Amino acid sequence: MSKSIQFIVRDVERSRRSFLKSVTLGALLVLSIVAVGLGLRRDYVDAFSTRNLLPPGVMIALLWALLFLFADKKNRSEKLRVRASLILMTTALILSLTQPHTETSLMKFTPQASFWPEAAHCIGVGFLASALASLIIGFGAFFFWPSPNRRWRIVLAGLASLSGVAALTLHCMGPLYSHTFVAHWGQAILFFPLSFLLQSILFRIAIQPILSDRTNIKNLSRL
Amino acid sequence: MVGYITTKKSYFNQVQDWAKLKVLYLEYLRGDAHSTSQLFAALEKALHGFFRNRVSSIVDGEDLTQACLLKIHLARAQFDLKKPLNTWVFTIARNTLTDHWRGAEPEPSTPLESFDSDQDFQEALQIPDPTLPPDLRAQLKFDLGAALGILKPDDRSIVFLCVTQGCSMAEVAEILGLTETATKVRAHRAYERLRRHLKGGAYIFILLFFGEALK
Repeated sequence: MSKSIQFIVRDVERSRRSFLKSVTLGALLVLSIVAVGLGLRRDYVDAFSTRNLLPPGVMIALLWALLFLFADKKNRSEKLRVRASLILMTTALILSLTQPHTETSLMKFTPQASFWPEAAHCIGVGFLASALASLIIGFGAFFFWPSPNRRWRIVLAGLASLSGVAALTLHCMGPLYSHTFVAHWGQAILFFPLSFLLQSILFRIAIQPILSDRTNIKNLSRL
Repeated sequence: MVGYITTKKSYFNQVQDWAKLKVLYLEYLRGDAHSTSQLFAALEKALHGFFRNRVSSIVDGEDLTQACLLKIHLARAQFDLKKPLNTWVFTIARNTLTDHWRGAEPEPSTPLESFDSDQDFQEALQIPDPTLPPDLRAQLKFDLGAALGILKPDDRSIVFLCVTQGCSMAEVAEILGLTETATKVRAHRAYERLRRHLKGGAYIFILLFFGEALK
């Protein structure tokens, strides 16, 4: 049996046993989002009120569901699954705008000069959450899930970036819309290519041993 | 002549049974490891023959086969189960070949190595048919190998897909991205060139199988 067939058989066996792994890695992902989001808060005023916890809670649930769409062992139509993931991600992004603005949440932006320092702080926190999520997802795709193709690598990179947005929604509740667009969504846009690069590197590491050095890997990166 | 005609039936039994492979493909999608290894072993054999007809180096052919198997696996959920599997597989193979050629040094249209070493054609011709005398079979292999070497790469693909994979003209046209009429014209020209180069039995052999596919 050639190396590529061994690789494919191993991948198929992985997809059969992916449910429990998806649950475990999903739980790790949620933990990392919550730990970064809440752990790095400066204060906990209103932090555990339902109106503030509901939007990030639903966001996190949507992101967790996305993992199951990826690791679907029944191999349903890929087009449908990718479309469903895009809908989940868009909904999660919109949810980041739904937290109610309160005096407390807007107070830190009252001196206008604090806009950019606050944005820089949030971008840093978001990057940390996204990096953790990216490592967890990359680890899962490399060791536990079936190898993702390019389309799924894009979705997984989006998932990692949105994990940062979810962590920031927990971290920085009901901020100005301009702050959400610049800092929360901005970090997701900045992190996306990095996460995709990580996925691509891990994918190359996975397929390199089954192909000879002469194979045009550049073309295979479009897989 | 009689030997060739009696060979025809057993030959077509040996042609890749794509309907059976499609069943294996369904099992593979359900995650059955045994069906997966069976399916990909069969695909590897078919693809190896396809690539060996198009690239000059055996090693390149093997690399392309491995890359193509990987592409099929990663695109597995994109296959429309209502469509034929062979068309989908060979379309991926053709695209893999295009990727290989992109940026690579141009290859001569005629392979550098003799087609006598082409494993797939050899296997296709090594039919366990007692009615075909060994000396006739050896002569047939030699003639066919020499004749295929003079065909253009696309024409070799047409002959390969029709003769060893049992594809119809419509399927070959879809795989190579040509119209059915253009494929038939090219097939006809390839067949004319083969006729000029082959003598007697070997030509009749090609005629029988190629003619079958042209219907």
